[in-house]
Amino acid sequence: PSVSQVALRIRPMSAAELAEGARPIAHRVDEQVVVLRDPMEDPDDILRASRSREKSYVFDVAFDSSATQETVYRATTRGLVAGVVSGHNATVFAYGPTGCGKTYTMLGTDSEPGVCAHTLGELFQAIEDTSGDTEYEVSMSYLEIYNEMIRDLLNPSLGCLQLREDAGGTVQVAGITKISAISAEEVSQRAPMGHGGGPANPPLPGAARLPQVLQVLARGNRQRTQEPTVTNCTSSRSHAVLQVTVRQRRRGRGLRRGRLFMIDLAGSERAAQTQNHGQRMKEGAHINRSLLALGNCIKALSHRASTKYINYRDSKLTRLLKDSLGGNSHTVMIAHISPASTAFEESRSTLTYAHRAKSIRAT
Amino acid sequence: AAAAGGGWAAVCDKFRTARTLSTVESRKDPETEPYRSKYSARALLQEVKQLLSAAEEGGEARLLAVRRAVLEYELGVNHTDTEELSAGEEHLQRCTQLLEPHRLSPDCVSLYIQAQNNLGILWSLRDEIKTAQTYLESAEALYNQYMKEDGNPPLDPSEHFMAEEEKITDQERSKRFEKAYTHTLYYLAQVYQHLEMIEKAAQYCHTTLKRQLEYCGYNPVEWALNAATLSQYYLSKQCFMEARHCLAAASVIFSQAGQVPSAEDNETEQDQQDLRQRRAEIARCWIKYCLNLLQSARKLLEDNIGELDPDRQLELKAQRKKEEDEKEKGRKKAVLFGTSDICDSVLAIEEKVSSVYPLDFQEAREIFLVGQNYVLEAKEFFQVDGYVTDHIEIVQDHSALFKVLAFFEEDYERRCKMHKRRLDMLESIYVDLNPQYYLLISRQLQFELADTYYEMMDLKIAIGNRLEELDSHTIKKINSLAQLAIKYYELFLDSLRNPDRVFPEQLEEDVLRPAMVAKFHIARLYGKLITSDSKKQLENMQTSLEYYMFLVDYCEKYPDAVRAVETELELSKEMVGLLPTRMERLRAKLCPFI
Repeated sequence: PSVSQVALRIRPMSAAELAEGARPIAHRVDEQVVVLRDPMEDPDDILRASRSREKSYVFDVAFDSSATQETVYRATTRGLVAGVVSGHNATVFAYGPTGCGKTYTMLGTDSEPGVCAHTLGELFQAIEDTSGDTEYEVSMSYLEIYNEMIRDLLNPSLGCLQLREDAGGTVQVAGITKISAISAEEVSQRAPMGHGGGPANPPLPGAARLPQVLQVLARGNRQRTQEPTVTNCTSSRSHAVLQVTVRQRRRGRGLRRGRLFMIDLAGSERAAQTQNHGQRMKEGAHINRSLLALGNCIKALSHRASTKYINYRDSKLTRLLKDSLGGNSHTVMIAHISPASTAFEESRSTLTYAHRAKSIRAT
Repeated sequence: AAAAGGGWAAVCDKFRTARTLSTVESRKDPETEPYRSKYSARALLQEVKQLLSAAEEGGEARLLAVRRAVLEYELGVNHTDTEELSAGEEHLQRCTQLLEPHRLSPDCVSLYIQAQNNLGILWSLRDEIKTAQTYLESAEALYNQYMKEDGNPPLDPSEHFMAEEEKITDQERSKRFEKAYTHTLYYLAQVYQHLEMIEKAAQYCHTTLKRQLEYCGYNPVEWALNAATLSQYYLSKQCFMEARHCLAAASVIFSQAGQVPSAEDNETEQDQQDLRQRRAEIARCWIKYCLNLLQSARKLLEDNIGELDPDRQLELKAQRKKEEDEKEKGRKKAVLFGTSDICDSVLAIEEKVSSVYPLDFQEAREIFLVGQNYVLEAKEFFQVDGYVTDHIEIVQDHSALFKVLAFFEEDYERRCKMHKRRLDMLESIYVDLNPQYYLLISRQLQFELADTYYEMMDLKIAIGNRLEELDSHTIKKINSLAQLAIKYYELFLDSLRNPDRVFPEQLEEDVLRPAMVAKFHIARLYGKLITSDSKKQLENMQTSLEYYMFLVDYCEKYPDAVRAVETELELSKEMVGLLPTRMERLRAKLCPFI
């Protein structure tokens, strides 16, 4: 994928963290730089003072608790909307460990709506502004990918859905509820039962319909698979994908389709891969002590360049995003961390990963 | 003089308790306090440290130093485990400093190496992989030096806190020492991988596997899978001897599993299922081995039109005679999984299939048959019902085996028979496949079917040309094969259309070449169709021309595409020049008065 932008958001310290006695070790130094300090616990340790335990990371933009939802939206996602309206694809990812604010960023709350809400609002506005000689049709679906199974969050009773790839190579979820987000009366009447796709637009005041749409999303979000976060069972992850499709038909100019994916990824905290005897696995260049992991080492040796046919079939998430993962789509990643000293290891992992994502450009 | 008897025993006890806490108890620590036991262990170790510094100095300076070093080591590992890297590093450094002057002696060498191993791990945790490398390579060098200069089983570090009567046997000492070194090599394998020194990483993985068999204890199924996976790496490097050795060892070790009867019934069923699957997976690795060997040989032997070049064949045969003995023995020794009890079994399997390039049909056929056997074995588990993708890949491999064997076969009729086998097996899986769900595989099969029909048609024509004239039966055959080839190429091209059934303006990179080749072959096929009806012939030529034009036009519009289809483009351009003239002549014959 071509990552156009990587943002980092530090949430405020939580009450639980303060109660534990954790100190803040992650700081936003300026608009782009975040510093993480390695917390020291050993009281004997006087000699450490001379060496710096701080590491700094540079991102396209960084936020801390002083940033509002609107600021985050403006700096990251807003620029994608115009492109989607005119037929391009875009993706926004929220990445980070459980509890660091991904859902808050994407969905937000009633009083502090998140990226999804702002994006939809902006979309409706943009459509209203240009709907002279152009017809628009906006539809959206909200789905969950959990353990490689796809569930429609707007109609969970359908059970597990299938991905279908049409002859043109576009990947769709068969049978998913599509809500026409323009005509919001239909939203409140039909959802969650409806099979969407209302008539193409009459111009409308987007803001009036927005609250209903957001209610639907909030309801859908409560349908996400909950499980207690236990770090030593095999990984089970729930990704929530909000897919908004904008079809534009200009007189004499044909049909264009833009898709925007807004994704709240499953928690990135590491789950133990083997019965690891309490020792937590770390990613990156770290050496794995256990000889049981020799297999992974050997597998990695044969990792060759892509074969004649590019293999998009790695996972359901990748397949769904196939369109967006090409060279000419925009991707924004918003990584999240907690500032607490108790979350040091995970914060460092997230920062390292997000930092590396910055250097991926379209091939 | 020994330290005061009772006091020393107490010290040893404390030390042992600390170690038990660290290694055994810590596994039971709750999620909320994952390092509880380790902190307790640390406190105990600190106490021992205090007791030691209170002990008498004097004649026992060296012994004291070593004991202190053991404590520093344990504390270093303890701090590293609890993510306090700076403290960990300090303790480990102190340990190596204390041991430095005596590091090559039997009472210190093992501890020194383990300390360096842990320093390597520590630096990797800081993402400083090159620094990790220096520590680990230093440990490696020390081991080699010790084995060369002394070689006797050295003391295990835990013995420094044991009473005389508890000391362990030489055999056990050796085992533990070798295990420490195996870890050094295993860590180095990971380091080399991160540094992208892939060949070295593979070499160290191989050595680790080897040593697992000899010293470390291993799970047979896991070991077998690892060895089989390693063989695939060797295949990618065309190192067939090493690949074969890994596979043979994998098969032998795997058969050691599943010999332990299990008491509980439901466990057994799932386990049996897993075992069968693993066995089938190893079979698939063998299939790839045979296929790769044959295909690599083909590349060496083929001339520029894809036929076997007899001169090359003679050359390579002569070369083989010379090289055979010397090189092989050296390489073989380096990679031998050498424990004596499995050696013979491994050799027995190795002797069933060659690891040198087959240079004629006989040799190729032997390898083919081995591959075919593994195909049957793999298909037993990977049946269509439940393992569609795997099953199809195995069938594709089977088809590829036939295809490459055909290359070695001189007789055209027999070649046709091989291609017929391919058609049968590919069509039978294609016909049941839903192209919507399995788009990629569908395309692959369409293309392969078309290519096979195309090849068969060419063979029939070649066979026919040897006779005086083509009889009507042969003509029918040729036409039917051509039509079928066209059908499948068209199906493939259709699969590229978008939902509105429009053929894409510009082709994506991964389908560009196959699409162009399909168009080119269709053009050629229309040119090969045999008909006595001149009007029909004109139509065919016209269609042919249109397809050649497609290539020429596309490459003009998208010049980047040229390098994907250079040869075909050249020929297309020629035909675009020639065909209109031929068509004119034919038209003139038909309507001489216009």
